Amino acid sequence: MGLIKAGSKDKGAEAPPPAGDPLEALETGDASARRRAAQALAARPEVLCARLTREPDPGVREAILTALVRGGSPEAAACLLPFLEGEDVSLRNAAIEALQQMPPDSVMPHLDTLLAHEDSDVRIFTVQLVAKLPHPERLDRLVAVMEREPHVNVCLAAVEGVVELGRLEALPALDRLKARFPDDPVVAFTVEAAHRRVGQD
Amino acid sequence: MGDAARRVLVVDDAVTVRAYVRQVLEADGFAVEEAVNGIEGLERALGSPPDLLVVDVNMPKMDGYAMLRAVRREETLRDVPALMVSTEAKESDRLKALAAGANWYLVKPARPQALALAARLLTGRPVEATP
Amino acid sequence: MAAPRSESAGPSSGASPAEYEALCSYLRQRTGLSFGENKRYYVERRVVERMGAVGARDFTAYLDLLRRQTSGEELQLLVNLMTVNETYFFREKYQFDCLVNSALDEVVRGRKPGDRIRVWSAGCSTGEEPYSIAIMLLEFWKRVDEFEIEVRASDIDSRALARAREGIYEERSLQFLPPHLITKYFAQVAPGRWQIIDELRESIDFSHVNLMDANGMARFHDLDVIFCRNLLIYFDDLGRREAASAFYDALAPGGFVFLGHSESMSRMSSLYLPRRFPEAIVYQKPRSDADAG
Repeated sequence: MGLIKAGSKDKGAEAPPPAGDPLEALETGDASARRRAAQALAARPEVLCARLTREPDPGVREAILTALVRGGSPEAAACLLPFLEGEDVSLRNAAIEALQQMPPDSVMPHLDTLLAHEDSDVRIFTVQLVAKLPHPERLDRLVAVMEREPHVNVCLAAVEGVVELGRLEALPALDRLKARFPDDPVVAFTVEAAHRRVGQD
Repeated sequence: MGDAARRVLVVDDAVTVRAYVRQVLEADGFAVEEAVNGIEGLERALGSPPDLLVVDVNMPKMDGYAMLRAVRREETLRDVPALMVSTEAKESDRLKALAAGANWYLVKPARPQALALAARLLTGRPVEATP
Repeated sequence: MAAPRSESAGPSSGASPAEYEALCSYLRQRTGLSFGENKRYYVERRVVERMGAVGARDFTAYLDLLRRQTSGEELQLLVNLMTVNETYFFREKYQFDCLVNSALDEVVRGRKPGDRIRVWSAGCSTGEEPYSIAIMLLEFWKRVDEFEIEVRASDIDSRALARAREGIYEERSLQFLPPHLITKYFAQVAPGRWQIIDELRESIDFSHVNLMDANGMARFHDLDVIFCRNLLIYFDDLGRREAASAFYDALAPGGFVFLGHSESMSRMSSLYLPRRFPEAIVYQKPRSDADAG
């Protein structure tokens, strides 16, 4: 026993079988096969997203998500967005993270509808996503939220976005936000903190 | 326990939220550390178990529910009190938090008095009567 | 406003910013290695060297060669120049201590005598890491004789891999090894140069592997421990995510990943649970869905 010689036959581990049709393989019982199938299906985002709702294995889910990110198409973004409205916390956060890593032009055009969603939590997730996308329009959108959004938590998500961007030109909008919520200590603190951090740069 | 400051680990992906909780709890005599998501929170807690966890729900890489479930499986962290904080206000969200292992649940934005009161209660510090 | 030209008298490939970005994008896609604008001087020097070596008339011609050459030889030569190879024996030793004092004991729980244990040094560079692992196992793991242990090592840099197989090192690389272990596992082959003994050299399965290449990675499965230290820092966010995902697929349930001391899965991947051992924090592929949270 001890260290075996390199190149010794490995009785226990078998090489993976050759791939077949990825669409079929995506539904088999073998997680490794499903994972390889997902990697082969980057050009079929609608198939990947459909599987995502049913996929129990974390490794396969991750392969589906990275394939969607690599594909990066507007279609891939479109099929991930419904997860923001879903109840599954882990899938929702995974979808948001994947969208953040996709080309901003594939994602941003879809977000205006969600910024007006009736559920304030969906609006929060959307604002967080806007804040993370390197897109020329993101600051304008964050400022628009601070000026018009009625729900305080959505506004605070926009402030967080502005702080992370560190843009001085957003500071007046922060003050107007504070004026809209004059009795809220959390808004007061957050706007002051934003001033300190952004004003520093 | 003596007079040593209770240590709080704040786990939230938003820098403004972490700063806010830090300000409130430091003003109330707690020592505060931060983590940006559930995995980092778990790493820090495992490295040095805190006296209190303040945990957000929605975070990348590992959400607050998953973090608390993992915390409750660890012998060194099983009994650390945990305050869960979230924007979501439905009764089902509160129940989910308790099922994951939270001792208390606050809806954001958490007012300073509520935050400090919850932290004191959960760490066994005396609570002054509020007017 | 365009960035000012570098003031140093360094070489220039003549690439425009867009062309430079095209090269970086190609490298990222093929290898995972990520170089930004701030690494431009580093990359330029090496590209210019290769352009001279192949006689490319301009940058566009060189990039064309990289993309079109089916053998991939030029890409390999360029990559060999890009990778950073600073390492030494018993680097970040507390992790090797964790391996032999804690992690392996958990790995073998429920295993039978004679079972195979598989350890992989991913990004092994010139070989100090896999040889260190082998020495630690032989010297310090109490149960080393109960199991068949396979130590695999891989790197994308073919030159470093050749040096790893050869196993000859300078004294600087050995400086943290106790003298009795040098005597035991090395033979001096020249002044200041020492070679790993044959028995150990033959025990490491070295292979050339690109973490982004699914076919090459397919040979790695059912692994119990993966060391990937200070390699993923050269990848971008998506590359790190994909590498972590590839390791997950290569690991047996319950298998461990050791990252460099300043690295954390919290910035890379959702797939792993941090585990605290007395010596170190290590990342584990959950044994079952119940553990996965």
